[in-house]
Amino acid sequence: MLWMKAWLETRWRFFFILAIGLLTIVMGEQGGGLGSIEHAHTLMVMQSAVSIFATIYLAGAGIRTQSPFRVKAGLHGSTLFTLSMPVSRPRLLATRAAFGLMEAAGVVAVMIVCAWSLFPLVRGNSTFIDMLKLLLSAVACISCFYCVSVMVSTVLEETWQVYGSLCISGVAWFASDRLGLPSSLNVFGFMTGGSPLVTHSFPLGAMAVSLVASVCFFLIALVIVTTYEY
Amino acid sequence: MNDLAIETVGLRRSFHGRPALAGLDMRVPLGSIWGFIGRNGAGKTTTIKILMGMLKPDGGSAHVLGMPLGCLGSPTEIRQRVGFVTEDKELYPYMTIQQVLRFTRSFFPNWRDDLEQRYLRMFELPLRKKIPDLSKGMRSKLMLLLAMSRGAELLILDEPTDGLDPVTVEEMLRELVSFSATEGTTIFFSSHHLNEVEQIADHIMILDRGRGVISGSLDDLKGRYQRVNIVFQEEPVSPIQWLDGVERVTQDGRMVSLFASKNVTALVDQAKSLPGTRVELTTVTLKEIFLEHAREK
Repeated sequence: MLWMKAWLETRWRFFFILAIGLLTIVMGEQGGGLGSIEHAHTLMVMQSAVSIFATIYLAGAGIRTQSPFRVKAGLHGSTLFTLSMPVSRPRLLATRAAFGLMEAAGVVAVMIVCAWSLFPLVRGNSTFIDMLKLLLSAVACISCFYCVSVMVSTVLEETWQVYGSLCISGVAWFASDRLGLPSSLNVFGFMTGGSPLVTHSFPLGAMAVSLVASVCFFLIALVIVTTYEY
Repeated sequence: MNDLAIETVGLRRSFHGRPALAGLDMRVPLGSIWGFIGRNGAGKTTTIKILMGMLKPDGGSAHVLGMPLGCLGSPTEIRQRVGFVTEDKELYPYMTIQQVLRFTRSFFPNWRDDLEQRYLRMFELPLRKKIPDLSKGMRSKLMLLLAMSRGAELLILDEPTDGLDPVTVEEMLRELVSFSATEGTTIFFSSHHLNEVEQIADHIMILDRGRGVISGSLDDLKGRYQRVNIVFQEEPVSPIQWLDGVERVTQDGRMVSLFASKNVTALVDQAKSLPGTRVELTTVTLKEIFLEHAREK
C-alpha cells in the first residue's frame, strides 16, 4: 500500500512533467522536424534538462508527506500519521524513492521513444538497439541527480529541496563543463556527445560514476531518515 | 508478565538547552484510561512523540507494552500494537476516506472490520469524500476510527477532542469509554480540558515543566485532596501555624481556605479548636487539584 500512497502523492506531478517532456518533442515537430544536427543537439539538451528536472521534481519529500502538486512549506501533519505506521523508516524512504525513480524513468523513456520515432534524422543515424541503450544509460545517468534530490529532501523542506537540488545539479553541470571532464565519465553527456545514438555504445564510465554516486547519496539519505526527528 | 502499558523512568528531553521533560516517571496500568494533563508546553506532546518513537530521549528509559524504546522509529512491533491520534488530525490530502482506510488496514493484520463498519456508520463518514473536504470534527472521527480499528492494545491520543463542538466531544468520549470497557484497550490521552479528563479517566497524571507532579487513580486523588473552609468571626490578623498537610492557604476576608493533601481530620480539629470558627469540609474537583499544582509558584 505504500506504492498506492506514492502513486496518489505523485500522479499529478508525473503527468505534469510528462506533459513538459512531450511539449519539447511537439515543439521540435512544430518547428518542421529536425532539419540539422545542431537542431537535434538542441532538442537533446532540452530533453536532458527536462529529465534532470523530472528527477528532482519527482524525488519526493523523503518520508514526509508531499503535497500532490504545489510545493508547500512546512511539515505536513500527516507525516506523523505515516510515522505511526508499523513500517521502518528505511522502507518508507526506499519505497517512495523507488516509485519516484520509476516515474522519472517512465518520463525519460516516453521522451526518448517519441524523439526516436518522430524524427527521421535521429532514427536514420541509429538503430532500435541504440535507442534502448540510450534509455538504459539515461536512467542510470539521471539516477545520481535523483538520489541527490532524495538526500536533500530528507533534511530540507520541499521548497528548498527543489531549489537546493537544482543548484547542486547546475553547479555539477557547470563544473563538468569547465573542468573538461572526459566525456566517458560525464554524467551529463548521455544525451549529447556521449549518447548511444551517436557512439552506438553504452557510456559505461558515466553510468558507473552515476550509479556509485547514487548509492552513496541514497545511503546518506537512509542514515539521515533513521536519525532525523520530524 | 508486566501489567503496565507504559512505563517511563527518569525520561528526559531538551530542545536547544531548554528541558521539555525533566525526569518523567510514569506507570500506566494495562486497561486503564489515563488522562495526561498539563499546561501548554508542559511536555505532553514531547512525551507522546517519544513513546511513538518519533523523538529520541536524552536520558532515562521507556517501555511501551513491555517493549523498550531505544532509537528513533524503534520497534515497529510497538506501532503494530498501538493506535495513535495526532494532535492536528492531519491525513493525506490526496486520499479519500476509502483510500485512507485501505492504506491503513494493510499494515494491521488484526484489523477489525466489524469495528470499522460500526464506526463508519456511527460517525457517518462518507467513504468517497476527500480528506481536505472533511471538517475538523470529521477528521477527528476518522482518526479515531483508524486508531480503534487497528486491534490495538493501547491508544495514544494527543488532544483528541481539540477543536470539536460539545456534541461531538460528548459522542467521542462516550465511545472511548465504551471501547476501553469492551475491548480492554488501554487509553492514554493528553488534554487540557479538565472536565473531559474527569469525565472519562480513571487515572491521571498532571505534568508541569516536564515532571509529573501528581499521578494516580482519580478516585484516590479526589479522596486524598480536600478543602477545609474556615469562617472566623473576625478577620484573622496574624498567620496561623497549620499542621502538616496543607498545600496552600488562601484568605478572603474572614474566610480562610486550606487546600490539604493529608491530615485532613487533624486539620479540621485544629480549625475547630480555634475560637469562634465555623468549619466546612468540601471535596475538590480535578480542576482545583490541577490549578493548585500547575499555577506559577
